[in-house]
Amino acid sequence: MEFAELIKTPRADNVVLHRPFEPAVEGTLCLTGHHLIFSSRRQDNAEELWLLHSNIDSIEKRFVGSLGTIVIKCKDLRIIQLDIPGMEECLNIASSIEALSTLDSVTLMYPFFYRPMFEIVEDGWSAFLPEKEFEFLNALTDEWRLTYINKDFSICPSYPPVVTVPKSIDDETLQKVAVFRHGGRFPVLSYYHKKNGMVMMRTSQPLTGTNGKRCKDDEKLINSTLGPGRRGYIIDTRSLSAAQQARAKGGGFGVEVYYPQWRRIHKSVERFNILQESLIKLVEACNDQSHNMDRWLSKLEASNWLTHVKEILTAGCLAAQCIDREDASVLVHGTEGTDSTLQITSLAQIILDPDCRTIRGFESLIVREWLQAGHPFQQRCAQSAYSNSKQKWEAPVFLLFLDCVWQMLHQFPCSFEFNEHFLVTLFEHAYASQFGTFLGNNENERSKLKLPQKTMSLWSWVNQPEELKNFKNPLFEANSLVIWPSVAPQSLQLWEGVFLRWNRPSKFLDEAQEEMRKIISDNRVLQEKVNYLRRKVAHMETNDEMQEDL
Amino acid sequence: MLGSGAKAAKPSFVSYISPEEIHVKEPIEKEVNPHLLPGEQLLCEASTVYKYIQEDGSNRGTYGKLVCTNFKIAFLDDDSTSDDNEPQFKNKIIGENDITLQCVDQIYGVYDEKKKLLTGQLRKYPEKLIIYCKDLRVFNFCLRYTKEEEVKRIVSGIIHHSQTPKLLKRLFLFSYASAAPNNTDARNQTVMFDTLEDWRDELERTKGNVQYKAVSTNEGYRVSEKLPLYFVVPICVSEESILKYEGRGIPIWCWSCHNGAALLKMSAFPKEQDDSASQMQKAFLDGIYRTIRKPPYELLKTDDLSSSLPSLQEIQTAYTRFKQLFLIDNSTDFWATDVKWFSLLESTNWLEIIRRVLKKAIEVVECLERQHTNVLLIEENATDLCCVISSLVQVMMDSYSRTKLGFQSLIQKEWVIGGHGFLDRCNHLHKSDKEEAPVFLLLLNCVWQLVQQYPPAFEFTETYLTVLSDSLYVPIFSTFFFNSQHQKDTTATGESLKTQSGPFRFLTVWDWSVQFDLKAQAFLNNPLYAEKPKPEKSQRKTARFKHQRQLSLPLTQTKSSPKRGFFREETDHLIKNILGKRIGKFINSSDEPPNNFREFYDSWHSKPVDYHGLLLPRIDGPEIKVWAQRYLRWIPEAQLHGGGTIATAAKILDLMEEVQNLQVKMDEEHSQAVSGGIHAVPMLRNSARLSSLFPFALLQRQSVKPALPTSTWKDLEDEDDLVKRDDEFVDLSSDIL
Repeated sequence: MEFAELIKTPRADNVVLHRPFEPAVEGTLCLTGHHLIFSSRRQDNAEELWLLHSNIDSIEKRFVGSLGTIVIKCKDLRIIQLDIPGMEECLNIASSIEALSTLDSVTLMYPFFYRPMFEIVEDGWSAFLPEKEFEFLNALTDEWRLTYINKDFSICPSYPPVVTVPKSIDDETLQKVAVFRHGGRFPVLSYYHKKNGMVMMRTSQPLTGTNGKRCKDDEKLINSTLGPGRRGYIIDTRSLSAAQQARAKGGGFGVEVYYPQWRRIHKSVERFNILQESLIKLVEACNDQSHNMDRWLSKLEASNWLTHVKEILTAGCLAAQCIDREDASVLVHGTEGTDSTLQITSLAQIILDPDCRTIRGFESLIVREWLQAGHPFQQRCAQSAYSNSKQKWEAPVFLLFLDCVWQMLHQFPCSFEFNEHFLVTLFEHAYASQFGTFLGNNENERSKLKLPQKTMSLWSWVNQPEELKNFKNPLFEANSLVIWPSVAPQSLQLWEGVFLRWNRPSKFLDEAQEEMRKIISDNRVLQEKVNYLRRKVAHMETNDEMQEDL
Repeated sequence: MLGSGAKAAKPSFVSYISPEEIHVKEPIEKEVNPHLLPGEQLLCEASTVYKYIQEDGSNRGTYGKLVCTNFKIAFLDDDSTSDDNEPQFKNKIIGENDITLQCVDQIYGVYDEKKKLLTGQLRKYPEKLIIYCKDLRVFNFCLRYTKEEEVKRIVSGIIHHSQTPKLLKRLFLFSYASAAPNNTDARNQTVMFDTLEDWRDELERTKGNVQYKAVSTNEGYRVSEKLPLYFVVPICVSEESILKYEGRGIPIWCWSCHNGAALLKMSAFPKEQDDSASQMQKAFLDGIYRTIRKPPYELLKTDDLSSSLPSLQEIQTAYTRFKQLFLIDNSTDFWATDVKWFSLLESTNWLEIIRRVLKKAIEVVECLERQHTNVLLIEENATDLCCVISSLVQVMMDSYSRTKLGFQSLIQKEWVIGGHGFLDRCNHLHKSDKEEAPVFLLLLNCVWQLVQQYPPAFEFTETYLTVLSDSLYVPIFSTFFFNSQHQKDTTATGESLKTQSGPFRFLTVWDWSVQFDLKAQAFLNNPLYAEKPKPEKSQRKTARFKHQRQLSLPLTQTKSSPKRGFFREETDHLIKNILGKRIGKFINSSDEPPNNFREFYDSWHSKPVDYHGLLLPRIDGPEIKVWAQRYLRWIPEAQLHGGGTIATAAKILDLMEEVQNLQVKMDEEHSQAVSGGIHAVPMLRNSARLSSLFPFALLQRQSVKPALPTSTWKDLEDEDDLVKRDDEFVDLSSDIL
């Protein structure tokens, strides 16, 4: 298919662009296969807008006479308005945008066409290989091994080819366990807590069904991870009743008799459309331009967003608490084990492991616990807050996770190497990007699409020194401690950097950021100077001594 | 500070163990004597009182003695010798277990698990006493192990001294002043506004002396007991007219803005029945207005605050509901508010009141700044909301008011000398609940919104505002314990005549060294305060600032057209309203196109902030926040170990100290002269060890453990081996190295 077929009117003049907090600009609008481009052509391309079609969440058009108006609502929550003279042009442009922003085929997406203008220092696709991660683990304990049982994705389509499992369990057993677990997601290692050797594992629900089926191999695997006299907690991300209901559909939960050292905790975390509706309500409340902001707090509460943040964060804390405070291992699962399970395992790691609070460590966490672990990004992030499609599989699961991380960043401003901008960037790229990282729903799909060969990884771009400095938190001071966030509603804040981002002028914030970067670089130059002078002094002193000795 | 027994109870759920079991060896009768201030007398005491540590609903706590003096209620820990952890931020007057009698909000007794409000005479004595404080602390005392006689004495003593009506002269203020003659008075740089010179200086500072004059007409309080001895009126107002209606209907000057427009306040006439009298008043007002009308500042806008802002009653109700959200008995209560937190918050209406007050202040600023119009605030006595609005306007417009001295002088000018009835509004004497209204707290809450939105614009910190709000209840300072200057002067001389020691000289709250040592005082100063640039530079700045404003704001008609008739036509109408009922909707902001205000507000916010120029708060819903430090500081569940804004602040202070030290070193290099050790800000090297509740909570007291909603553990009810241990502070760094 040629994009040209979809673009009947590639260009319109005398279009007026309205953006919040900026004066309206007149200029030319161009449509390309992947971008909506606006240029005022006044001077040196002063007013340029490049908008990825895939970033467009919804579009509305209306007419006053022959002047058409298109309102574009983006997945990053921005809203812009274009006034286009000429009814036909306007209709054409609107329908092109609609078609181009909802392309069916992944291979037509921009990442497959994007050619980077920078030199790749380190290829992000191979920066976080499971083998490398395993080396670190193997230095600490020899109770785990890598298995290649899933190398052709036949055992579990949503798992990566390589996963970490208990050493004592052979591939044959794994195969049997996979049959007993939803989607073949047998228990795998998620995190090893150095301090006390406790582990966190994740899986999906066991397929016990109504007649309480059991699987000896599953029991063997799970029980083998606890030493004698040790205890573990199974954190089920559903309420007890939801877990019981799941039995009717063939799912269920492990019965304690068969897992004697384990205790089950039900910590219900919402999923799917409830989260999506919550996001829609929240963004509606935030965009409410009535200046009184009457009932703001009730609207905020009614959206339930912060309640979800609290629930998820609490579940993460609970898992971390079991590991660090109770000296117990933890197994996390819900139904599929691809959403709430990952939120919890990744948050617990951020609480427990200072490495995850560095940029590199956080990237590695996203790769391990979200991308390789099979969070279906393509489905979940197909639409954002302005969606009206109401598809069951769309849900801001990842955004909620980022929000929880932001809450911690906000509460512990000095303990994270990255800044808020980094989290916002990840949010944007998860929904629309020139990079291939967040395409596809799991490693299986990514390898079929040959993403590593055909697209650029987000990490290749982020990890360039030039870019990296924009994501650094100037207040960072390595904190080797476990951080316990407060989950009280009084401590949780609305993430203004995402939800109020377009409702307030950003110019001065940007200037402040710029100033901060300047200070940091000045400081570095001065530091170098100091070091140079120190060396010189030291050198001169030793010379003096030598002369005295003589 | 845990009782040693609490630690012994480690192995299982502490809440199942009653205090008797924990403290078998206790109590040892040890003589612990309260630390008494000069003039302070011990009134009653009770020993073997058990104070709960308000943490997790468990029964952990310590034994000690509960005493009541004519100044405070104090709990004396039997273990008080363990003072090795001297906090960095300590109040010298009020210890952490001290409650001044004026700080007591409500006292509840617990009878058979039921809470009952205690007020007057008691027939039965409770087994548990819960004291809610106005600074939002909550104390739980168990009296079960105390001798019955002592229980009776202490409970009735506490209730009598803290909850029943009192005579002014019985305030501790007087005993203290007579026992500790204050000779430190000295060079407090805060302008007190109790002399004619202070007012003249202020006129000169604001360049208001062309149009306004300081008068001494009220010397000896011959005009009114409500007015201060000295104040400022328009130059054309004659002495006779001031005398005429006991100072009512006289516009009193608050402040002049750089363009000459002034902010004035005026107390309204009482509703007059007699027709001829009201005619006379009308004529009088007419004359007064005409005099202010002189060009070039002929415009005058009046605003009746009693109709355009919430009533004191509403403010009181809102605050009562609001503070209830933070007076929490135990963590179960805390998590119970969880689900409905935002709607609870909204239903109190307190944040909305703050927003409305800020909005009103911006409207006044708009008149002064953009329309060059004099603004006259009217209120019944001009001593409540007038003070709030005029103070806020000055904080927003006058960068001097954003320095510590400037802010203190402002409080002196508008509130203390201005005649705000602190005694009645705080209900210090328990005379009448009807008069009580947290007007001054409202101001501090509004100023806090500005401080948190523009930290570099203020020389003081939020901690300063918090301790200032606490000082409202410390009766050793005269500042907040009189209704007017007249009351202070007459009571002081009257009382001292009896003791024949010459007039009392009271302490002022602005002498912070009374409450805090130098180290602690450092927390009141904002290290990031953007110092004011050199004078000539700042003038250039304002000039440019004005220029910018004109560029973006199309000059509205207001400047030229109403010159002719604004005042004339409106006067009759205005006077009609002033002499009768409330002005109602007359000339408050709704009178003009509302987007006038909005335009001003938006255009200001679209420009860079000049920290020494005009400062407008953002007032959209999400911008108005809860003053977390003041309201959450005693709630352990809201605590973050190694986090919170204090982590940032500590880091910045560290950097500042480093820069200062480097500066000193460089100076030494240059001059070779060894300078005396500079006063470095006291700092806390490792921000990871600080708690977000710092400086109001000690780390040592709580264990580092996650605070999770108790409901989380409900699923584990039978799991009593899942212990909540009090963990030692675990330093993982050794594991990592």
